[in-house]
Amino acid sequence: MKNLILLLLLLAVVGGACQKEKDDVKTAIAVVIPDNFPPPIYELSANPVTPEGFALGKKLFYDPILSRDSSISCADCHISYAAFSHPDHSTSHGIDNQFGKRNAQAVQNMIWNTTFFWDGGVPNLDLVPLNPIQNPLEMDENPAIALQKLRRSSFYPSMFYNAFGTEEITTARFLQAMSQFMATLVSANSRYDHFVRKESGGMMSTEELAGLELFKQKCQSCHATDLFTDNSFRNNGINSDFSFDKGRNEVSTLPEDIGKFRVPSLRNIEATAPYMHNGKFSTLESVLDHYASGVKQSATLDPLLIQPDGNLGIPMTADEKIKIIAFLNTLTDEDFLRDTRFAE
Amino acid sequence: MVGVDSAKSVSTIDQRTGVLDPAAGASGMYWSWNAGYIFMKIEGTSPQAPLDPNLGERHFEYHTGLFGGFSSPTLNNLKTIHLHSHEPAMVRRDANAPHFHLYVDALEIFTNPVTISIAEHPASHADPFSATIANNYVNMFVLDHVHNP
Repeated sequence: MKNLILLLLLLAVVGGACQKEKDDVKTAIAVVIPDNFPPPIYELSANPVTPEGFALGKKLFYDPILSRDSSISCADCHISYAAFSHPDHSTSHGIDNQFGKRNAQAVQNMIWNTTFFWDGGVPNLDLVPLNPIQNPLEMDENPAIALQKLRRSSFYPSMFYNAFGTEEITTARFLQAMSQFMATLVSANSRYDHFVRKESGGMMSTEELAGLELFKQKCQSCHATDLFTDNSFRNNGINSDFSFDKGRNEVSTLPEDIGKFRVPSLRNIEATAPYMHNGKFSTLESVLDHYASGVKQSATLDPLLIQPDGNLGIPMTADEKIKIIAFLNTLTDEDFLRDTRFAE
Repeated sequence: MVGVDSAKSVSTIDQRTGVLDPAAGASGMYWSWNAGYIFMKIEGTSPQAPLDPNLGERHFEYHTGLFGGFSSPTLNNLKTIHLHSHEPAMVRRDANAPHFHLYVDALEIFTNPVTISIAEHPASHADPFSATIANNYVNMFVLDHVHNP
């Protein structure tokens, strides 16, 4: 009996120390909703981010065990210093060196997304990881087998215990852990953010401010709010023939959705080249050249890209393009890109 | 209902347990790229199908789903069917539920009411043709008999 009391006392002491450390980590990874963002879409209260859940989600994000032959992790195509996009890759090579057909998108501010992927085929952050895991060109793994591998691992059961109070690895806990990691990937500390929130570090040059005004006139109807997307699906004239990739139509089956893709955020755009659903453009100059003079006609072309005189695209002079790009570069969030909590 | 109703199709991950768990009970019957369940899946070989160079066989496959879309409308292949029983089903508080035994004739998928040409349609997933398949497969169920407790 004496021994038992001593043991309990010891546990109390150890427990107290742990609680202190836990509180420190908690502050360090709390999901902060920026003042200039709308309320998030994802129900954080249904899956509160904890240090242990975050650590588990991060471990999974960087672990190739989720792919069929343990060769590919999420992070292989979603690299932290590129806002979790895939630099220099129009499309990415997955398992067996096969190439996918769409550009790997940034993983940032995910809790504000109304849908996910270029075609919006997934409605909820918790369901996102199943897509790349199962895609035969990406990780090509049956999620049921991926979970079996985690159950057999020497450390995942205890990480699940730490995160969820049980070693039992279920689909929901697995996905919720990944969501906890992704939920913390909030980018809202660019120079532009400091400018709009009137904080220090928010100095904008005359050229950048002129670019912001031009952006409001020419780009903001789609790249709306400080998330820089209206979450809609649009045909931006990148092709006239979409037989290779029908975009939104591939999930909705509706003819009016052919060639429409989700409007991407422009945050950290400087770090997320190449651009467009097919990674066609490697520079922002070529992107603006496309909108100014490269838009292609097709049945579903967005009406905003058809001018009253019937000409296609968004009129922009060379000088205006330079100013808009100067503004776009103020959306780079170095704190986020270099955040060691998120990097491997 | 043949399919997974729209409320279940949009449920949160903690609600997706048992046969609705995408990594367990619903493994192979869930579209991760177009979040929703597959209602009917049939795959096989047919001399009418084109040669699939990867599989090295004349392969056809129909995966039919689509519950109507979670944010904007899509095709809706959910079907409600009514099956008639020749004998009463008995429900007793002190016993197990009655068992309903169905006969399912897979040929109906290809013939009733529309005859489907595998040569013309060797594959169907989330596409408009899936509506034709769904309108056929609802006719494949017959309630054969009931085991009362």
